[in-house]
Amino acid sequence: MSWRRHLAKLGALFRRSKPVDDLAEEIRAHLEMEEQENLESGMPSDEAHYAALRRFGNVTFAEERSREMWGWNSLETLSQDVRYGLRTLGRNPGFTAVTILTLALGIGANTAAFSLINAVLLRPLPLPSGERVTSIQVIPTLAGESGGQASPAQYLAWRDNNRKFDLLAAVASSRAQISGIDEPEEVRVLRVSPQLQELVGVHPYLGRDFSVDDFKNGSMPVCLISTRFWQRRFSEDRGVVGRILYVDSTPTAIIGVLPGNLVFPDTESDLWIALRFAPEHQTQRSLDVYGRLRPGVSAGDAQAWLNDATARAESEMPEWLRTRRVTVTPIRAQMISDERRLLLLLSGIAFCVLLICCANMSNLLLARHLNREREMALRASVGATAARLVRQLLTEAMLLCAAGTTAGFITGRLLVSLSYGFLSDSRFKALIATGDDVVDARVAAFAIFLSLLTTVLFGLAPSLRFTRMDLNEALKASPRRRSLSRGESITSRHLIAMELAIAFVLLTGAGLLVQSFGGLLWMDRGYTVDHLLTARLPIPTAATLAGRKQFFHQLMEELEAIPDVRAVGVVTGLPLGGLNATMTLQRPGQLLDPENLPWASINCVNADYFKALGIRVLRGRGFDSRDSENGMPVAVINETLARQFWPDRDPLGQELMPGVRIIGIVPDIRQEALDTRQGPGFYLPFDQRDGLAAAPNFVVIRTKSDPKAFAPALRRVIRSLDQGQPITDIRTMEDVLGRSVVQRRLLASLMAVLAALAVALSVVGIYGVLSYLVSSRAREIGIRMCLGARRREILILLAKQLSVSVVAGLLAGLAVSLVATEALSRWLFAIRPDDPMTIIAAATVTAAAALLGSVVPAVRAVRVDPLTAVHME
Amino acid sequence: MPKQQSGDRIELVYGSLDMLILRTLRWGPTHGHGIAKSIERMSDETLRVEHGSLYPALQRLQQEGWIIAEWGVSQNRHRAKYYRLTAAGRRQLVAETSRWERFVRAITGILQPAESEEGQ
Repeated sequence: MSWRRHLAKLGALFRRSKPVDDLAEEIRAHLEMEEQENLESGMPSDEAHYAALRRFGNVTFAEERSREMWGWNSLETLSQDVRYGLRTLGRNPGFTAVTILTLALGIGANTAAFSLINAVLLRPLPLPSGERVTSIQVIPTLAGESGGQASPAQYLAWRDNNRKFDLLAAVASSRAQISGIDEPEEVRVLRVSPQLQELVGVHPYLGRDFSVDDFKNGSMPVCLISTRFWQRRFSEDRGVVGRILYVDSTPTAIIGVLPGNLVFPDTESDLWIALRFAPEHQTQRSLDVYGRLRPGVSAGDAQAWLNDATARAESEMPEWLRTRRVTVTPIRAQMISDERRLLLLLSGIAFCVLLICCANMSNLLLARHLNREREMALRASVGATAARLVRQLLTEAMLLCAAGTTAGFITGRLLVSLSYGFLSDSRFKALIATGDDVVDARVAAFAIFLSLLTTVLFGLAPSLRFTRMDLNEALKASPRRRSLSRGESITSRHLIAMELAIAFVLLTGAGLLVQSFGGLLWMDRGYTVDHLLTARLPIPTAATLAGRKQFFHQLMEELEAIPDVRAVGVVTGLPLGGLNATMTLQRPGQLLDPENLPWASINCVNADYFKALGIRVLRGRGFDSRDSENGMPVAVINETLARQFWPDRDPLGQELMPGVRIIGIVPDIRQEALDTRQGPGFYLPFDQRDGLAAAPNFVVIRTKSDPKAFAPALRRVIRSLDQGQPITDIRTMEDVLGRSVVQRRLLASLMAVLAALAVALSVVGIYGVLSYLVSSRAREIGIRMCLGARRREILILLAKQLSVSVVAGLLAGLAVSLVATEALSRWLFAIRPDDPMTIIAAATVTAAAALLGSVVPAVRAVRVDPLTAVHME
Repeated sequence: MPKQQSGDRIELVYGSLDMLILRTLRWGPTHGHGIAKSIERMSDETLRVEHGSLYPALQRLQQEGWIIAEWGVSQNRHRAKYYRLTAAGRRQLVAETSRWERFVRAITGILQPAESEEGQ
């Protein structure tokens, strides 16, 4: 093609009236002239007309070819195809809606899953050279001692001999009480080494960085505060720099405000304080250590070096005090270990939904294309080329694809923000929240790719058949008489089987997760959660033991005086409250075995604690007024402790510790988490204990009416007793319980929704295929009926068609379920992954779905009127 | 018009239609129907042109800039589009014609012996 023609076409594209606009008129004039000439040569008038047409040939074809001459990149035809496609889709709103909905669900689910994966696993971490940042964990030899943290001595030794890391930073995390501003508060505090700021790459939003002097003992302690804290406590006052906070009574100067959206080292801390090492704490394991590897050094190298260095430094120590090993883990893996599995599971489920969507798309488009065969044949016979027809169908598929992508994208965003709401506060959530948008260009590209894959693959495949269509046959055949070819019908059946299998698997998974979740909520926890209001009352820094005891006695007295308060309990560690103290017990007549220390959880409570929480006393008695400060020292133990320590004797009356008699046995309760059994545990009256460690941290009120209504009264009473008492987390016990199962709830509800979707889509799929089968075989059914077949036999005929797919689907689903649900075992509670009842239920629902999808087509089949069907053209 | 026997007419060789149109327009501007008729007339009705196939060719020639079109009124007072040869079209016609002649000479050269054999 010469440049001149390109130019002409380009001109034509922008010119208002294109040279082709009057083509129809030109051709009409041509035909009239020819007709007239024919008339003049003596032809009869109608003959003259037809002769002119014959002489001209195919008018549409000539017109179309002439237009194509001007079409640049077929833009002309494209807009024509698009307009035609829109009209056709508009004429079948049902088909269009179902298709777009299908795409929206499939693409939406996958976009959402991919958004999360992208945010958490693929996007660069918000740390300089984040891929080289590692977490260094120290695993002690002694079992029971919390693993992971390093002692200052270890950290300093590594830092001073370091050859493998660019930076080695240490962080000590704790809670601290802040006073010096109107309302005292307990917040999370990070004490950070000088390297941390560089490792994280943050500078204060306001104020200055830490300086070298800030880390020296003897200078004024300084801190950076979080944006959140700045907003909450200082209303974004820019004059905050230089003010003094009392952190656990230590005056500390604010030197700046940290930027918001910090993901690392954690998301909750409100204060960063310059870390100083006190000589007396050199061996306490209290530091989280992070290192940025030197370029070219692998985590394995660094780990080997750290282990060597540690072993050399500890060679003098007794063996049981030594470090078992040191591990170096890339920070990303350390930050998201649990969530990675969850994400993979979610994307697996999303992929299943996509498969179902593809199957449905394919079924829908196949049925539709078969119905349009005549239209296509007609267009082909008036001069449309095969390529043109395929292009037309492709255009329609692309229109669906565009609509589906848009809908899917919106659904995906919606799903992300929904699940975001479900997520508990964590680094995982913060990672998702950082950056501009979860749904970035990569996610968009992914959604479009998926969409193209589904529509083009499943839209194009059926349309290819038109290129080798027998026009004659296609035109003669009415769409109703056209039945599925062997290949098509087999494909449809495979698709049905696949849909049912996936629905089965998802149903099994959903069944297991929902039962686990329900099991957690409804199981016997050992205590009740309704009508309970709880609050955490951290021990003020300046507190004394006597003051503490007095405070709680007054508190209990005043709270009990409030009408409708049934019981008031106080305790060191509330169930699911996140505080669990343990202590070593010596078994009677046994020496301590350092390898296997008998740990038991300890809780110091008041007399009414069991009553407030509804914990039954199984044997003996609970605490009462006899067990006061001056009474005989007593203890209540749980069943596990009783069984472990006194397997062959009655524990009642025995000594738990020297001088402390056991007076009662209570059941094991769900103390740490709903899904973990309580180990050995015991309760002591807080009055009888010395030391602040035994002082209660929580108060819990059993009320007659809605517990939330008691929150203001609770706050008022506490304030009236002690202005300096920090109050955190006033919550109902139901809320506490709910928070502890957030992840499970999210997973169970997601799975349930997706399984329901899968079932719904399968019903639609079966309905579609079977409807088509019935309408295409209406004539055959009619003939059979004429020959005496009864309705029952017609139904059997249909059932035979369907049952193979259903049985195949169920078997495949069963096989996959048995393997795939293993992946769920981590989230299951009190149920086996191959729970037979769940599998039977899933199979029943799947079969019911198949039945449901086939009801309408079956009714249509038996209502076929033999006479009409046989005569039907 | 009596129905033509299909054997009497020869289908156009691909590409030769452009040349024939240009050649026709050398006698002056005319419309599509006129071009079709004159091609048939000039070839003593031997060449069979499906009138419809003329129009894509006319669009192509316009794009190349060899002809231009404008609306006019025919002798029978039909509104019709008249095509006119441009200077570029004239040059193209000369070039095409000489190319065609060479082509025909070559083909004839090859076919000559066969004909003489047939004559013997």
